[in-house]
Amino acid sequence: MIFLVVGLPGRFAEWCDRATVELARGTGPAELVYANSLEEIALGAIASGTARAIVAARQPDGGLRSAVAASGRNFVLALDDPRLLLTELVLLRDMPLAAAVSFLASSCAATLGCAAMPGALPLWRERAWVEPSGAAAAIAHHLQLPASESQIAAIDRVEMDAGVVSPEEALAWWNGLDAASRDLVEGALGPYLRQLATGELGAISWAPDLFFLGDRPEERATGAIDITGRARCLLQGPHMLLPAGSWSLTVVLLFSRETVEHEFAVEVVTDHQLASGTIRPQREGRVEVNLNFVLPELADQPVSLRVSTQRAAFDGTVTLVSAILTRPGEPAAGAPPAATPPAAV
Amino acid sequence: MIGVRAGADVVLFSVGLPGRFADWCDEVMVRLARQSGLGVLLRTWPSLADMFSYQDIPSTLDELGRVLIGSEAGHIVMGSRQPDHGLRVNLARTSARFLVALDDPREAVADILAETDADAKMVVRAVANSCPLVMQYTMLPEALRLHAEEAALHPADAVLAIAQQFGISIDSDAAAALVADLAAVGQSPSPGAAGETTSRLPSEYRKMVDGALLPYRGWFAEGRLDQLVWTRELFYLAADAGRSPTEPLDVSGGCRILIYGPYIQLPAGSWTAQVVLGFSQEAVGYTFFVDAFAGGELAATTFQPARLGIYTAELTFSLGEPSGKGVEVRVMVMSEDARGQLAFGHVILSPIVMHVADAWPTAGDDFAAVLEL
Repeated sequence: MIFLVVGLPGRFAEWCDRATVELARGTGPAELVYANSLEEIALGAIASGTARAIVAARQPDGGLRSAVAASGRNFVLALDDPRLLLTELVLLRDMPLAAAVSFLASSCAATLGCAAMPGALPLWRERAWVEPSGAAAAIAHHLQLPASESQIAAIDRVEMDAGVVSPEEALAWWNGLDAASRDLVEGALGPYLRQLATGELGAISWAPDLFFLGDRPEERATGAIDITGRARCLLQGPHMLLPAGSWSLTVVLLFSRETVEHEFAVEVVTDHQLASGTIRPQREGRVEVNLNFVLPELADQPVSLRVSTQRAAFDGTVTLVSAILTRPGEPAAGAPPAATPPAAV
Repeated sequence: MIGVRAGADVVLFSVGLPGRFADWCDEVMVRLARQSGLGVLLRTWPSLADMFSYQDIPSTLDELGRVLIGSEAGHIVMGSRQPDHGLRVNLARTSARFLVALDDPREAVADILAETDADAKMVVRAVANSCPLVMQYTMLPEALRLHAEEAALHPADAVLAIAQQFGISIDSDAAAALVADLAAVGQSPSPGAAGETTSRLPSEYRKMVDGALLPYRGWFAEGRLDQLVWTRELFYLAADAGRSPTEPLDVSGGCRILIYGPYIQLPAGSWTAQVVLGFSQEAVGYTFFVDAFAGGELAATTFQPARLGIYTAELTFSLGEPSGKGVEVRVMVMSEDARGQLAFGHVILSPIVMHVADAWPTAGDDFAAVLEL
């Protein structure tokens, strides 16, 4: 028997994992397995030698989401303010901002769609932590785990508070960010905040800081990229999950004078190409290209943009100005919510 | 040791060819697991319909994950009929115990033909696709290898062996009672009164079945794989995929594929394929192309028959783990103005070097030790 806890990565989802483990152990042994795919669940069962496990999923892939939806299985959905989660990743886990944003946005893309499934028990940190025994009782009831009052009471609150960023710390951190960093956060995570609040995702903006140099994948593609050299991939990234559906990606690139008459390939890829276009700048300045693509429901590969030269170049630079994703039928403007401090503040 | 006890849900694995014996073993495992008092779900994967199709089949691990998500049962018995590389690697890595149900593959064909109205070509292909996968599992140390012939003679002993493999307590009387219960619902490890395989298989299929499957019987029994023969009945006419190239073909009509098939998996290793073709006098001097294909071209040869008669096109190739749709042999006419007739004989496949299962995680260490690194 599997007990599934889907959630955004953070202390609250971990608390839900632990609470479910404790409740399940009231009726027999239960292992905690971290898995985002059907295969990982199977591997967990083989490794532990048991089919009774609590599966903690932070980026459930399309196959897992589809199986959960098809089975109608009840599961716990641990929800939290992405801004608070971001501060946890950056301040407590020392994750660089761009990496944390990328990780968290992918989790949001994979997780938030689960809220619409009939088997979901959405639990919010700010409410659950006011009365953890109530949350524990709700989990037990929803997952049909018989639990005594003493068991529920034993799931104390002490553990959940350990290592949590206080609202004051979060606000101070947010106020200390420069404008570019705030844009990075708001562009990639803001739409998911909107989705949590209104159900509408709106436009997603991937800031240049989320991308990498094509031939030096460990370096972020901030600023102008020198195209001198053989034909090659200049820029790629951000390797982030997106919700399934139709998408339109508008990419704005700034070309230097030396790049005129060079040809550049612009692609959207997962593990295969989804869309492509070619740019031949006629003069120095900005060029915009639109690429439309569809991500199927079962898609579980991160999405990336790739910009490449088509022949060798002696000089010139390309700069990524913006990459904005919109969904047909949703408000194109999609201005992410204004920069606000975490809700708990 | 894995123990099936109350409150400790387990997944029990069996692998085997599709057919009566593997089904019987799975049912024994279900009934043994049920003794714990918990519900048991049996999942046989893939289904026969999936095995007959040419679509990619999701992996056993994906299916197990799906079963785990969807099932309320305590224990799960996973009976894999096309057990893939991913499952094998992970069973080996975790030293998980499992059962390998070994039977004469021709019995499996006879069983399926008796139970379904499926095309014999599809049935042979399905069983042939299972064989190279199952044979890899026979070499894993945690496997309990049960042979149908022995189990048919001593079914209660087979039940006791299965119980011991999975740490389930059962005495001889209970094992005998379990065998009797299964027999009462028509499940037994042998065809019983239905008779010998040779009499259960229609004579027109025997050559096809023996050629594609008999060598695997040798492997399962003695660990030796002789050459396989894919008869013409397993192939398809490009001009009419519903028919096999059982009659001579007119090669006129321009450059094109004439014959292809059979999309059957082979064990990993190096192979030679001898494609036997006959040509009429009119076909002499025209160019023909024969290749082997499995996701990409494995080997190819071009030749011109110099005189009327029988020719053997020889291809040598290496294969990795069975994957995709299996191996395809294609015969093409390359001359636009070709005339005459071509007859397709069969394909003889001879293993040159067999890859022993590489599932053991220590394989790299062994390699280093041999080289004294």
